[in-house]
Amino acid sequence: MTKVNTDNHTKKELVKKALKKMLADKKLIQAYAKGKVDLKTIEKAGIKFVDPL
Amino acid sequence: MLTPYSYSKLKNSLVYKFTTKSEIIYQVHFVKDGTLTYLSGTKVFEQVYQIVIEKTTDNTEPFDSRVFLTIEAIIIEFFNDTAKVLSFVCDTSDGKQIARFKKFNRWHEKSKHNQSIKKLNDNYTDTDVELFYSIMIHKSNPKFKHLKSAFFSIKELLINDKP
Repeated sequence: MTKVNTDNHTKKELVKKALKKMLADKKLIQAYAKGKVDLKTIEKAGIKFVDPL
Repeated sequence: MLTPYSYSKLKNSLVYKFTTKSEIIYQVHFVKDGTLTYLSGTKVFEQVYQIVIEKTTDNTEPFDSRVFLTIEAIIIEFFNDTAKVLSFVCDTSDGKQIARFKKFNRWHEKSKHNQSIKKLNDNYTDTDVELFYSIMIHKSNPKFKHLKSAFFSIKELLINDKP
């Protein structure tokens, strides 16, 4: 099984933080889709759109 | 027979769009998702993309099964390259994340591709948020077992965190 690479407590906090960041990014993208924020705001948050299709 | 709506990429952008018969417009965005690579400390998750689907018109959405077919078609196209992984987190802004999660599960169960595209789920509840997170992996992904194992290692951490 693949190991997560820090001690357990830190790992849990990292997981939570990362998932919350993912959710925050999603909310920002949704706001962008509705024209409530601009592309600059998206880029400032470190979000880069890609085309994987 | 119902068919997906036609979808296209918006000019000069990386956004996909489709319009339903009720004039409701959906946008589909993809972003590179480094979450699992970061958390697992492995490179198995290098090709993970988060999908964000957003209804951009405010009209109430009548039931329309072609929306599901269209999103399914986009996901099938995404998996033309079986090495890619799709991630999805349910929106919590209106408190309907469980309903969204269940809907997404129903879509996956109904899909004729659910044997080739596997969906793995995770969730956790914190003081301020109840979060539902899923990844989709093609059964032919050469790293399928590693991906599954790494995903469940992360999931295990959250299970162990529960009181």
